Amino acid sequence: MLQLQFFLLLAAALFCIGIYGLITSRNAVRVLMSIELMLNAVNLNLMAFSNYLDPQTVKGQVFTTFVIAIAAAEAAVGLAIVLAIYRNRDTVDMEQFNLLKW
Amino acid sequence: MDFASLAAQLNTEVILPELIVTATLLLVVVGDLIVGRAASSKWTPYVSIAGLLAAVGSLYFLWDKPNPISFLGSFNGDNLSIVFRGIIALSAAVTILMSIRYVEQSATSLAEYLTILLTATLGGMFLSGADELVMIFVSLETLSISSYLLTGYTKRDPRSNEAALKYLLIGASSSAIFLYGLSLLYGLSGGQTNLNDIASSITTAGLGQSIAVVIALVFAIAGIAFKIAAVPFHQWTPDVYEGSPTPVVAFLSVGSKAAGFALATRLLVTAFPYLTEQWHFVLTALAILSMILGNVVALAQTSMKRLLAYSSIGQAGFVMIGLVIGTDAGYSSMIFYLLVYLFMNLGAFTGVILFSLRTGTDQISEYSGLYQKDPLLTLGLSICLLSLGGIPPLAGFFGKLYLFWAGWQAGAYGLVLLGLITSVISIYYYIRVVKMMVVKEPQEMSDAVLNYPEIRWNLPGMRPLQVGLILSLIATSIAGILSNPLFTLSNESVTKTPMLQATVKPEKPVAVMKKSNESAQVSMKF
Amino acid sequence: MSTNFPWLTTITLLPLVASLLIPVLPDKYGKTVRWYSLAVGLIDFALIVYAFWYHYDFQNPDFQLVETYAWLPQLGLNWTLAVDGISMPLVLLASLVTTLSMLAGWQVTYKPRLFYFLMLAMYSAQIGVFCAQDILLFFLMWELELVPVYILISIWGGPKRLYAATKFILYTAIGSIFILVAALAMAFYGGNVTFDMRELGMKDYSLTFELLVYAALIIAYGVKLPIFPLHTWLPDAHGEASAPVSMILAGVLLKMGGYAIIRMNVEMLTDAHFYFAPVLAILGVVNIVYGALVSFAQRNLKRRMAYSSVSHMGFVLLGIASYTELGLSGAVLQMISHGLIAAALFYLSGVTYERTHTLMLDKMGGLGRSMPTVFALFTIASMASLALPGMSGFVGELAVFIGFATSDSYTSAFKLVVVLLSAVGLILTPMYLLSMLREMFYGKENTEFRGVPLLDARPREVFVTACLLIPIIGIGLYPKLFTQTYDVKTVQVASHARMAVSTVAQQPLQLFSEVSQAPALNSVTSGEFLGIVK
Repeated sequence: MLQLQFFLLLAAALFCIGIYGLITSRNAVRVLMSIELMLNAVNLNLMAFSNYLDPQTVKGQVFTTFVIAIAAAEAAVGLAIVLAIYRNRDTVDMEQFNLLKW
Repeated sequence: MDFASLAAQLNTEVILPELIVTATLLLVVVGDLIVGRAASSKWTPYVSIAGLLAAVGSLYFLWDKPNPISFLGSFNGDNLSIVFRGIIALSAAVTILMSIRYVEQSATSLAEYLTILLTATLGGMFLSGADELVMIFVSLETLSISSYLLTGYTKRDPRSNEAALKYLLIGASSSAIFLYGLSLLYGLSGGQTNLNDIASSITTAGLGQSIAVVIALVFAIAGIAFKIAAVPFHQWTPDVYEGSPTPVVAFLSVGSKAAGFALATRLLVTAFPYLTEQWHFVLTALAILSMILGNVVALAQTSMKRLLAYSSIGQAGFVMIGLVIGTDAGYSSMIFYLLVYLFMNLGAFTGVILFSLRTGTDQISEYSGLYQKDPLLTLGLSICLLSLGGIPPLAGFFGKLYLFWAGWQAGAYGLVLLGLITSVISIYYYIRVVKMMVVKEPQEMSDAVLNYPEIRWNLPGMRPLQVGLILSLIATSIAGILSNPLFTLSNESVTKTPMLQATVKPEKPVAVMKKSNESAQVSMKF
Repeated sequence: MSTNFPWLTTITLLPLVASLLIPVLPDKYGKTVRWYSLAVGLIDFALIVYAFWYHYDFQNPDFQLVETYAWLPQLGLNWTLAVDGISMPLVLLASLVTTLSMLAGWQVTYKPRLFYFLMLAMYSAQIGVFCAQDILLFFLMWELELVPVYILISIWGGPKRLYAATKFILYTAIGSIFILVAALAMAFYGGNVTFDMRELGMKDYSLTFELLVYAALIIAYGVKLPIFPLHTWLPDAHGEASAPVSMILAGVLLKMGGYAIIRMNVEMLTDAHFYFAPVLAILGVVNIVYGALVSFAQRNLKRRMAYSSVSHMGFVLLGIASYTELGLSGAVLQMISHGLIAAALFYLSGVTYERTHTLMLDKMGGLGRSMPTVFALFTIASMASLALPGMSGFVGELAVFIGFATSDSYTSAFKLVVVLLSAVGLILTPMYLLSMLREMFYGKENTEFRGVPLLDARPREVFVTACLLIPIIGIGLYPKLFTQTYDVKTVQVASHARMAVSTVAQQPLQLFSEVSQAPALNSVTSGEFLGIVK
């Protein structure tokens, strides 16, 4: 049987990949996707804990459902903003967003 | 379990204020749909304000409630949460006062703006009492996502777009990090989501000092520090403040920040009692960095909104003094400062909005000579800025005095000294603006002030701005001198909150120089 | 009226409350506001005189007219006001000078509302500083005066006014950090937390602590007084401010520093005063000589008088350091006398400036011919300042000198050096003041003034100056009339300080043993402490 640690390690790896993408991406949509990766890492974490430590009340699974729902809302808002900025500026390149001092 | 007993267990009346806000929100949405955009903009703001004030009023009846736990432990409506919910709801109400004209001038729909603002308020209010991981996350995201929307509300303005995108990306990533910390907490506690249960399970499991808990703590603090804009998690603040619609900035700097402090207090005090030393240490470092960086960088700003952004970073540093010393007086000075900060900061923003509505600029140099053209605005803005700088007898002076008093009492001499020095620096940049407005000669007037439009309060949406300005002016001037009720309020909110009482450090008597005894003995030998 | 009437609260708050009405006063030509403010000032002055005359016992060294109301019990902040022999004359001085300066600012036509509003606010703050007996309240009042002075300098001042005002506010604000820190430190020392100055004075501090607090306070008040290395804001502020504001700056605000040193450093931290007194004496001498020498080099009339203030405040320090009744009484007298003289001099320089539109001594000359009255008044004020017998300056400085010379706390060598050096300062004073008079009034009229109507002093201007000069001469001729009103208090303070000396001097120097615990220091007894203190 698989051990809890494997899931946690996978989640941690996923989280790190997400952070790496967050830092290096120039495209705003890719940044959004990286954030989704990080949230999914959290989901994996929660599911793993829930399965191994809390199989009766499965609070972790409930939590995951909330996280997925909110991640969807966040992505929707994020994409809406990206769309608005694309209309005004014709680009989604992060390097081009320099109206405000970064 | 039948419905009636479940309903009784939920203890719903604790969230009565939030229910009122929700009802108001629905009323605004539905009303807007029915009567149409033009007609609804006449009454929706006032309905929202009435709803928020009613929510604040209903908080009064929940004060000292014997059983504040509701929704099966998800929400804790203790006195601490009541004060924070009051601050958030009031800040939203004042924000609406200053938004009406601004939103109308930007030719966007007012009702939608109000809906989003009320949602953000709802999120903040729930966050103040959230006692459970899922609840914390959901209310935090309610607040954050609506804040992103508010930031990008003037969607034709590329600066607003850009601010929204930056805020969203940084905010979402910080909440992902925060969430990762929460998931670790969930796992370490063996599947608990209630903050108290988490603390007790972790302690019984003997994981109190384990590295995983420390990682969870660090991740949680990262999320919180983002919300309260503490250095080094502040990078979004100046950009977002500069690009967003100004009323939104006002709300972010007061309401959202207060929610962040509520979260910080509850999460850190309840879930991490075994790491008190560590989180005090981290927050002390954040406070020191915030006070120094916020106040020093503010010196160099040329835009009023950026100035206020950095000033709010510095102010957050002052407030954190109250949080880290961890005594009764410390917590209550934090609350007291947030209460007076509410008035003075919103007053300053009202002034900035009024000026930018009339002249279309936020540059500090454009304020020069304003006294000649608009004495009321000059007076209001000056009083609020001086109060932020801590000049007596304004409210901010008493706020800072209390913070430093509590800090000294707890023996945090270094923090207090640093706070004093940085607040002298802050006086310098606040008074620079006052000087611009008051001191400049008529011939040194800026173009914006030379072409200052005639003051007409009867334009649509101007009257609320005037009311907001005068209210905050009066509150800022009076709240210091007659601060006794506020003191009592903030003291009682701390002393009657069990969560804080359980962990509060015993007020240690001030260090008496032990050496004097020894040296007396030494000298007796001679 | 009964004595239960809150006299001091009324006196302190009346100008502030009255100032709040100024924005709503109907005022078309800027006349109502000035009459209103002058009336408020006069009423307040009359109230002060009445209250002191009928309800103040001049033979009682204790606090009188005490009022205590709890303001913020959570902080321990009380609204405690009281006066004694040290603060009573200063309250009178503050009220007189401020009222006169409002009369002096009669011709302020630029933003008169703001001007009088700030003047009245400052009036309250000054009285509050002298009356407050709660150290937090004292700090509040001290800070209250910050912004009004800043704005007053930066709007109605000379060409470099913004620089001067900023310098003023930074110096004072940084200085006041030390007051708050010292206040908090003293209040939380030991078991009971109190901000009441009397109770703070009774606490038994350890010596190291007392020395630290003393040093902090001396920095804060040294900025205000000013003491030598901390004085650099003063010439700028006094030089750039308009005449009415300079009157208050030189006449009242400097005295807040001297008052606070006596009130806190001498009365509350008596043990530390023993160690710091020689330092104060040396700083006093430096002030006297340095101020006089630099003043000599100034070509700007107001800067010259500003440095002369630095020089004269050195005598206050010397008096404070003297440990004798006479010296301390002289210090108080010197503060009062300098307050009156400096106010008169700054006012007269303002009067001159209104006519000549220059403050540079090079550009003046021969003014005596067209402005004989101003010339006469200027001469009288300068004579008072250079301590001509028969004027208050003479009495004050003489008392300080005798007080210091008869002090038994210092070795005679040290006293000799101090007295000699300050005598040098005393000789320099007539030199720079008389040369100033010569350059201004004697000789041929400067060609630049041809065609400029140099009108002589108007009755209002004569009146303002006379109000300041009459007490100067009065005190000079019969000082006892004035000193007896506060003597009992200074005697008490001095004897209290001396008592502490005798107890401190009996002990081996705990200061060093506490810091380094080096037993070798045992041989140093207080008898030859640095060869200065006996």
